[in-house]
Parts: sequence; structure tokens; C-alpha cells
Amino acid sequence: MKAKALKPGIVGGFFLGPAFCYLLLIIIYPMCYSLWASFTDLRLTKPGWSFTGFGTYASVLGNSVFRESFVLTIIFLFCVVVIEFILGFALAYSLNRMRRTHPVMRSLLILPLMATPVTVGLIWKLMLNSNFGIITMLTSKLGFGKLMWLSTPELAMISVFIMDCWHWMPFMFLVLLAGMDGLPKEPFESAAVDGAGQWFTLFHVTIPLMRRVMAITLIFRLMFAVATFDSVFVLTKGGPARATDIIALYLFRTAFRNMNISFASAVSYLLLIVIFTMVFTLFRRSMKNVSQTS
Amino acid sequence: MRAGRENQHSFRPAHRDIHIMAKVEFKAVEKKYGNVQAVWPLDLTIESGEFIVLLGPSGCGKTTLLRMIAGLEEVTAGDLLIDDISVNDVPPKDRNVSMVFQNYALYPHLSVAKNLAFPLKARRIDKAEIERRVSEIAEIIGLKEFLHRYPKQLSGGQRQRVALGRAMIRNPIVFLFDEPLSNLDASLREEMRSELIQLHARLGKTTIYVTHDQIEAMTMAQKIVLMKNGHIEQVATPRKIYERSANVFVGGFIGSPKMNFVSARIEKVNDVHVLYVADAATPLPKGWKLPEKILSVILGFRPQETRLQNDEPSDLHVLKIPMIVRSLQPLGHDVLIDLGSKDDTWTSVAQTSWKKNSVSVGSEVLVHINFSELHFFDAQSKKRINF
Repeated sequence: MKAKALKPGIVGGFFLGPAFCYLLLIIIYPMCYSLWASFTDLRLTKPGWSFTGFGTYASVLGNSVFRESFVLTIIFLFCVVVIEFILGFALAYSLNRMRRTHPVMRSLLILPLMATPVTVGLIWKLMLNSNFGIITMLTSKLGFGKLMWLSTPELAMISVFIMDCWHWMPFMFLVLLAGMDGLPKEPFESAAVDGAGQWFTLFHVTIPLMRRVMAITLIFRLMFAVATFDSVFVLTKGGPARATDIIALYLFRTAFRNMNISFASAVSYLLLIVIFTMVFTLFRRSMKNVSQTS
Repeated sequence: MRAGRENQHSFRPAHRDIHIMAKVEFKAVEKKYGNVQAVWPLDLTIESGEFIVLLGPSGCGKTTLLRMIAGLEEVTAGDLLIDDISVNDVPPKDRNVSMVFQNYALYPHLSVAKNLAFPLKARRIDKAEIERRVSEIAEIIGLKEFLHRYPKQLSGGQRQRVALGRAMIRNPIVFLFDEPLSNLDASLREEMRSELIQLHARLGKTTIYVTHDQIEAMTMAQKIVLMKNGHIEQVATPRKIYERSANVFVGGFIGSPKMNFVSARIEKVNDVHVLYVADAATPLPKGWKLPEKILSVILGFRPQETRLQNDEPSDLHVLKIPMIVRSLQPLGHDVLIDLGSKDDTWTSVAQTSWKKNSVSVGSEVLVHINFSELHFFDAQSKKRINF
């Protein structure tokens, strides 16, 4: 070969280039821009900007609306993720234990996952409608009276929980089922012969072996759940009286209704820190376990 | 009821059934997976305290049989009895049997100590007792210093010991082994083999051991159950199965190198029965109960019983077949000699001492086999014929 071979670094760079440019444009630039914005008083409604240092962050933390929204989001995250996880795990566990399950059954169970969030919001908005919604009708038939699902603050939050669980539980179910299907058979057979009952096996074999999959499922779901926006926006728009005003809705309002870009950027970064801490903790805990098992 | 009666090895029975060991019986037991017949209806009795080896090529149903005893496979039809009680519908956890799996099946997330304690914990034995027994078993399996390690930090042999310890810890009535040594290297396998024999001698438990390795079977078993295609071919002591193989399959399966087979014919000529093998005709001894009509047989003889001495004095009770040496395979002390018939229609192998035999490739030899070492099988049914 006459021509001098290209250095591996150049070849690598050539192939990596397009993807890197894309990342730069779509992710890295906006991230840097918003980081910069969070240290200014940038507003789209007023010309010019000045550097404020941590001033914006301070005003975010001092803002009672933000604090309410933040607490609401934490409650939302906790309730939704826990409920979805427990239901998803229970469902995956039962299906996994069944000798034969029809593939159609699995597909049916993950059907909600295929709906877009806006559709989900619309479906539930119709079902929870206080005049003609089927759920309102059912609850009134059951003797609960005519429940104003979407216009009572507590009920509105519960509606959001129910909708989110309906939409996302299948995700947990799907990933956990795949994890369970992938577990080695021998420890379970060994446990059966060793005299372990169903519950003992669940707590001493299944769950410990599933720890990694469980952590990853939780991490994914947490990351998605923090960004929950469209379905809730369609269902309640954060109302009534900000009862369902989770952080994504709050951010949207701040950035694109009030045009307060710097404030919204600071909120996002605070949120990022919180999520990162949560995910990192979960990740490290699950990885610690991996080092023992695999 | 949990009683504190101790057996002679200071293991307290962990289970409510106070058996030291048990008899296992198959009565017309069969196993089907859909339309596939894994095990044909079979009867088998494993006596209390016996060390029995289920032997056979892969897919013969031996592991299925073992898993049925453990309760990991359902019995399709027939009755599986442990101590005369049908256990067809008893879940594995209530059978009080222990199983050692081929890949050990240790719990990867538990330390050695916790792996050992698992069967006791599952049975809600109190903590102090668990600790006492874990350290006792750790002593026996020689892993006292490794109690805090995890399975992945152990070598194959150590994992094997943990699996063994876990099987022993709750004093089961039957030990089940599913090819436990096949993942170990040769020297370790030999070591573990003798350890298992000693263990059985000490505990005296009914032990059912599955393997496809005939050396394991021959060295360890009190009785071998040789299986093929879901059928039992022969149940006998290692010696009997070797010396009096029930059919062509058993003869060929047991023994290494394989038994030699050649088609032959027995015919009565002038009041004397003559055995025709290839070109050679040899009169058979008078005392044998031989049929009047012509009999087609498959003649079997072991390589170790095949001699090549040309100068041996003529003996009436020896079959002699002229053959040609095709190749030699030295084994150290012995040499394997591949032999072919003159017309190349059949081959056989002889194993003899290397020093005593100095045959060369291509030379013609006269193969000698004592009549007493000949195995006759019916050409049609392939079953052994005893004359």
C-alpha cells in the first residue's frame, strides 16, 4: 500500500463527526445557553440583559410558587413511580409464573404505552368529564355521588396519578418482565428443592437477582416522570388552582408564557441537580450490587 | 413435628419427616413433553441407602428422571413413590430431597455462609442453630475461611463444595446429583469422585447420581441404571453390567475403548456347533446349550480381552481370527491396535501391553479371544444370549 494509512484518530473523528455536530447543536449548545441564561436576568419581553450571578437561583428558591410546584412534583414522582413499580412488578411476576401466556395478552397489557401522551390526556379527560365521563358515571352508580374529578384539587391530583399509572405502568411491567424472563432458572429450582416457599423465593431469590433490572427501570421511569408534561397539560393544565401544577408545567409557563428565560433556566438546572443526585444514588447502589453478583 | 433425634453423624433432621434415608420407587412412570415421549413407562426401585447412577447418552431421559424425583418435573403418568408414599403431587419443597446441579446453581447474591444457610432459613430454623450447622458443614467441606466470599470469588471446585454443603446441611432423605462433576477439570473430578464415595459411605444416604460419564458410573455406583431413548436398558452392578451386558447397546456403551462387534453365525455341522466369524470357523465347546437351527448372532469382545500372540499354543477354547494391523495408538503403558479384516468388511480394536507387543502396521496377526470373554447377542433383537 503506497498511501500512508490514516491515523485511527482521524478515521474515528470522521465517523464521529456528524453525530458530534448533532449533539453539539441539539444538546450541548442549548444546555450551555441555558446555563449562561440562568446566571442572567434574560427575559424575552425586555431588551438587553445583565449578569446576576446566583441572584436568579436565589429568587427561584425564594419563590413560593416554585416551592409548591417542586413539592408537588416530588409527591407526584414518589406516588406515581412507587405505584407503577409495585403494580408492574406484581403483574410481571404473576405473568412470569404462569406456565403459558398468550403473546396477545402481553401485547394487550402494554397497549397504553403505545398511545401518545396527548391522546392519553384526551382519553382521560373524556372519561373523567363530570357530565358524561364514564368513570364519573360509574363512581356515581357506586354511590360516591357526582365526583368533580378535574375541578376538585385533591381529585384532580388523583386523576393525574391514575392517568399516569395507566399510561406508564406497562413500561415497568414490560421491562421487569423482560428482566424476569432473563433470570437463570437454576437458582429457582435450587430454591424449590431447598424447601423455599413462594414468598421466601420472591424475597430471597427473585428480588435480589432482579435488583439491577429494578434499579434501571426505576432510573428510566424517574427520568421520564420528571419531564411529564403533555398528558397533564391536556388533562388539567395544572389546575384547578395549581393543584396539579407539576414542575414541567411550571417551567413551561415561566419560559413560554411569562417569557422569563433566565428564571426558567435556573429552575431547570436546580431540577437537573436533584434528578442527577437521585439517579446517581440509585445507580451506585445497584452497581455496588452488580460487583457481587455477576 | 420436629424431633431432635440425631443420626450417627450428628446431623439433626431438619424436616418433620424423620427419615434418615428413603426408598425411591418408579411404578410405570412416564414423562411426555407435548407429543415428545421423554421417558417411556418404566419401573425402577432404588433401595434405601443405595448409591445408584443413572447413566446414558444425552437425551436418554436420565436427567428427567432425576428432576421428577426432585419434583421439578411433573410425572405424566404412573406413580413415583418415596418410602411407599406417592409424591406425584407433592411440591419439591416438601419432599426433603437435596439436589446438586450441574452448574452448582448457587445464589450469586449470597455469600458462602448464606448460601449454606438458605435451606435452613427457608425452613425457619432458629438463628443459633443455623450458625452452628453452617460452621459444622463449612468444616466438612473445607471452606471455613471462605464463608464471607461470594460464589463468583470461588473456583469451580470450591463452588462445587458449596453446592454439596448446601445439599447436606438439612439432612435430606435423598441426595440427587445432576452431572455435578462435568464442569470440573480432570484431576479435580477424580478427587471429588473419591470424596463423594467417602461421603456416601459416611452418611449412608440414598443417592441418585446422573452422569453420561461411564467412568464416574463405574467407579461410584453400587448399581448402574443404563438408559437410552427414555428406556432402561439394564439395571445392574458395575461389574455385572460390564461382564454381562444385556444387549448390544449396553456392551458398546460400557467400557473404553468400545466393545468390538462382528456378525457371526452358529451352525450345527456333523453334531458339532461351529461358530463362523469372517473366514474363520471354530468349533464351540460341547457343554453349551446351543440351538439346532442356524443362528445369526452379533459377537462382542472387549479390546482388553483381545490378544495378538501368534505363538500361543492351540487351545480349543479360544477364538482365532486373522486380521491386519491398520494403525497403532500408544497410550503409555498400553497400546491400542486398530485391526481390520482382510477383506476390509469390519474392524476391531485391541488393547494390550505395549512392551509385550511389537506388531507393526500392515502386518498380519491372529487375534485370540477366550470363549469365556465372548458376548453373544441375537442379531435381530440385539439382546444377550447366554449359552
